[in-house]
Amino acid sequence: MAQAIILPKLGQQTEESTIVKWHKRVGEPVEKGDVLFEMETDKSVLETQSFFDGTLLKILIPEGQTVPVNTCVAYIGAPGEQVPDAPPPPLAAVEGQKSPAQPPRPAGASPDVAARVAVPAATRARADRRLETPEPQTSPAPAPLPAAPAPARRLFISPRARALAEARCIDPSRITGSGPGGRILERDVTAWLEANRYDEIRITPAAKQMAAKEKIDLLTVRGTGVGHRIMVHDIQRVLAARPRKMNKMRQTIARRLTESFTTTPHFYATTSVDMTDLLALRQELKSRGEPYKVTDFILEAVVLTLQEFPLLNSAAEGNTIRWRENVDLGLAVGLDDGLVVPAIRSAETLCLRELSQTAAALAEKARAGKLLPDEMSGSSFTVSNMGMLDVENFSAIINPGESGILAVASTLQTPVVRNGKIVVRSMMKITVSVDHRIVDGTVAAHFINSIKTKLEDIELWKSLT
Amino acid sequence: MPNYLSDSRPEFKPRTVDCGQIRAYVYRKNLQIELKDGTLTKPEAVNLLEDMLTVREFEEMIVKVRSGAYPACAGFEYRGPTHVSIGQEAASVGGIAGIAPDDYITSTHRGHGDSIAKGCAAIRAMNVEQLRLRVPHSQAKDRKTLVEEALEEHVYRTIAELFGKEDGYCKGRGGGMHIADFTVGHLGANAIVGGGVPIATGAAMGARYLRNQRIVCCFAGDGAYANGVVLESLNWACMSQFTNHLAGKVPFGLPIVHVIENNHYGMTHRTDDEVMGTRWLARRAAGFDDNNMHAEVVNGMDVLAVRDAVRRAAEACRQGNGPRLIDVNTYRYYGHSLSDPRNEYRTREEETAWKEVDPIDTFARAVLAAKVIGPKRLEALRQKVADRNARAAARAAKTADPDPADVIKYMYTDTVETAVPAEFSHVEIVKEAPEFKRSDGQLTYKDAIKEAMFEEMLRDRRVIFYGEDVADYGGAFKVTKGLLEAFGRQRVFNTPISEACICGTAVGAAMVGLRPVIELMYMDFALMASDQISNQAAKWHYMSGANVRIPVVYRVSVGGGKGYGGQHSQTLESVFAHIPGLYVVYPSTPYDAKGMLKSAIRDNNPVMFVESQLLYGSKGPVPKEEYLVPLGSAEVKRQGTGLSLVVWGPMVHEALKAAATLEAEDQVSVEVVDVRSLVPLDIETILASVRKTGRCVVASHSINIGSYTGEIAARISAEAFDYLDAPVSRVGAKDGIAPQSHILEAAFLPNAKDLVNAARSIL
Repeated sequence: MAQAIILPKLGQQTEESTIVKWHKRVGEPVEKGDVLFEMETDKSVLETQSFFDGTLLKILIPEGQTVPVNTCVAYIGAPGEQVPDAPPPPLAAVEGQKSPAQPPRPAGASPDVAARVAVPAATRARADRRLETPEPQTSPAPAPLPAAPAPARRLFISPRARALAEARCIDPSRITGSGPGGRILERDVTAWLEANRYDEIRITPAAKQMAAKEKIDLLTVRGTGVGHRIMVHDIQRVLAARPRKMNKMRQTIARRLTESFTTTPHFYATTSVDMTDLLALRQELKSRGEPYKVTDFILEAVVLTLQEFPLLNSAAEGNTIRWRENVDLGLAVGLDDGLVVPAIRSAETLCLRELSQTAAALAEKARAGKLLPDEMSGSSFTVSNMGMLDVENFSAIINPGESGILAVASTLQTPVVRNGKIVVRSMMKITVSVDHRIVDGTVAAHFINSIKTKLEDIELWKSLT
Repeated sequence: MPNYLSDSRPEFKPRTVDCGQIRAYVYRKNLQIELKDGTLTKPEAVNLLEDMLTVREFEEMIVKVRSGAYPACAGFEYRGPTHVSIGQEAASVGGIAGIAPDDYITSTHRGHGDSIAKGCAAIRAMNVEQLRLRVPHSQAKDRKTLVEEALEEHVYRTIAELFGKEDGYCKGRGGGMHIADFTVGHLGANAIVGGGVPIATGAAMGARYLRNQRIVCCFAGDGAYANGVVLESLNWACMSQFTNHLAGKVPFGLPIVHVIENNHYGMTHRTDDEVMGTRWLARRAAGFDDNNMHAEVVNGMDVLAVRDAVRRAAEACRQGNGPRLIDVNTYRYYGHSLSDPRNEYRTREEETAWKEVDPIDTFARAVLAAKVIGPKRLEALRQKVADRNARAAARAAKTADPDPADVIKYMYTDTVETAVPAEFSHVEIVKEAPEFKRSDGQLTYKDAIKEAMFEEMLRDRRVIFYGEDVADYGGAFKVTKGLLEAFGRQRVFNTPISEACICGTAVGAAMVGLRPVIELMYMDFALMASDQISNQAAKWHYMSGANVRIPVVYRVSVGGGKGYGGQHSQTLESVFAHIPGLYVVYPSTPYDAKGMLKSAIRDNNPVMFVESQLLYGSKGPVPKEEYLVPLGSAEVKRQGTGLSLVVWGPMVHEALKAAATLEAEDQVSVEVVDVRSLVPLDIETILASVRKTGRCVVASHSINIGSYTGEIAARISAEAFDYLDAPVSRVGAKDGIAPQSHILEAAFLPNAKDLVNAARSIL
């Protein structure tokens, strides 16, 4: 059998070597001890002798080529003996001594593909509970991050004093240290305990255990048990009053609304809409098997009006007004623990029925927490309807990236004057909040009255339904 | 009455100092003559050939394994040195053939040949019981098969050691450069060039002392004969006191044969033509002994010539006519290691010329010519050797690696010599026992040390004691005055000013069964011996896979505080505490000095026993009754609750003063912990104190940079962090060199005031 000639690993640190010169030609006889080739390591050029007698059958690594040590570089055997064309892979190290080589990658499956395949799934997972409208991807200048809360003042306290404070279940941060640089020492803790009559504290073992676990300063807990003994429910009371971090959605809402309210000069215009006739039409449609929600009419009226007032469908960006091609109507949807605003894309292209269905579908999806990020971003104007929540009137905060938001209050039976007589009508207050940087009072007034007019124009709705 | 008084006269008469002659290449026999003379049998001749083939096959295997060309180890990656001895087989095999199977050897980093040859020779001489111990699972019925199996096991365990396997001779802890098999008298190869020579010298001292008829064959290369400790060792081996009137009734030259495996290269430099001034390395012998150590130069490519010379030398040594030196002229075919291409420093023609006198080819031809065996049997022999090596290597490649969890297992032995074997327990006082001046049950620190030595030497004949001027004069500080008179010069003797050799011979003597105590007059001198202390004494238990113990006590004396300046005043225990494998202790009272020295002498680990000259005169209660203070136990010298002073050595006394001051002036209750033992460290006693007090100053006489006080402070911070009310503080000498000026030295060394200040800064 032909012998494989292996490029020797001659130094501990040598990982590869270059064959500088072959001393034998293919077909030439070789005796044990003959120099086969010269190899160059990073240290020196070395001659490599044959350990075998035979004929040099094949040279796999030509002169000048650098290969890892332990690579098969040639075969020696009996003349005419068959040898493999390709070298076997370098000898694997003994199991456990070296990590196995990377398995060859199957053809066609580039790592990029794998990565691309992996991305959407991951994004979906993250989007599952996406909140509010995320920043538009095209936002030219991302909103500055809110200032991190000021770090708590580093408490200088000796490990021994800290351990004592922990054992006594008290908060040492109120203690004044007497050590170098104001370091709190054991004696300061002891004095503090004494001054605060710590020894008089009575506490049940369960309460003590809970206080220690929750790191509650026993000196701050009012005991309600017999003889002011601190009970478990006293600890629970303290725990209930502890600050708790907002969840991610709440943090986003807070950040975005703060950003909007502090950087956008808001003003508001309110009007009352007489919904009596429209509600009657709605009843009639319902009895005909065509159910619509009040919201649907409002959304439609807003969509129609926005097309007349493109300024309300745009946004201020520095010294620029960003105009929009479409009405991407935002619909505020309240959730148990927050608020999201899905967008109805190109709402001007939808008929009332389509608008109604799209809004319903998005609201449903929002409540189920299944909105995709794309569905929550890029709205151009938002409607927030609290009609079902029994409010006479309210105003809303403009979503960042928009120039107005319409707040819709409850429809209430209200005495109003019609033709000199007091009559009872179903009145609904709507309030538009606008960005005064680009929308002036006149525009806002015309805008809201245009919505009102549409909602009160029963012929319009008959034509649309 | 003194033991011996020198009584020489000045003598300046003109004369010529005759350096005598050294014979070279005087071997005139050959195989046929040896056979005819009956100085060699045919089977012995075959064994010589087989062993040389075994060595060469083994070495070639290493080269092949590195090249993936050894099928038996296909896929095995050998990580380790490749110092092969191909070409030098006659030196190894001939040398071993010249000594008895139970004689000792020491070897070198290129010592695979010595090691294999030693094992083969020993195995062939074993009886059936001994062989069965080598191959306990053998089913063999006859001795011949047992020998063959034991030889294969020998090759296997040697390869396994190279491969770093648990089955190796040293459990994979030593590797090829530190391989040893103490069961056959192989006291270890040594990766420190020349490092094994003082060990061989010490082993010869042991053999001489025990009169066990063994000799030591000390293999070392030509490169080693430029090394200081080797020259110290040659001088030591030739000391007159071994053979002149000082030897009393037993004049006996040190039984050691120095075999220089002279391959002419120290790594890559040419020794005889480049870094030495003599062409004949054998001339080294002329400097140490008026008889030139009977040195001769031998053809190292002729196994019979080497065997003949070593045999004559060994026999002379056995008669008490040692030491001997043989310069074996041989050649290393390969480079220093496989990464050395040789072409940077020698010609191919030189190599070819040496290969033409190849020891194996030459001897194989002689064996055929003498018809010891025929060509067929020769071929069968070659095949047997190759097959055996292949089987052993395949097994070695596959056998278990050591468990990573055992990485520092075997660093120390937990054994203590609790009982003295009967043969060593009978000790007679040669002349008179030393006097110990007790008053009120008190002894001085130095008398406490002497009493410990006296008691232990009386208890165990294996305890010997030597150092510079320790015998007649009783040591520079009179610590050991009277021990010579009590035990005689066989057990208490002066040494040349050769600190490395003092410390190294102790290792060799310990390896062959003695329990040496040596004294270094100043601890500063330990730095001259640091290889022997740190690389040899400390490491052999671990490197041998726990197959040898080194029960040596290095008594070292700190001179700080006496105005002796930078080279006689250092407190260096931290340096040695950094060396794994060594125990380091430093008693502060006479009571501890005695109790701990006795424990140190009975312990089977090498112990650096630090003494302070400042304390030699201090007195304290020392019971006459037998007692021991265990190593590795700290002592609370003074109880307290407000602050811990963790100290050792002379600082213990400063700490006690500081504690009194702090208590009086600062109303602080101070605890003083005497560490006593740095290695092993009783951290629990220290931690318990710190947990109680919450404040700690760690102090010693050493300078702070790299001081062991830092190690203790770090352990406290890590393990008692929650108990600390202040950062751990350290006090040491100023971070500089000890000055001579009394004023400066007073400023240099730490004292009670420094401790008080440090304590106040954290109160």
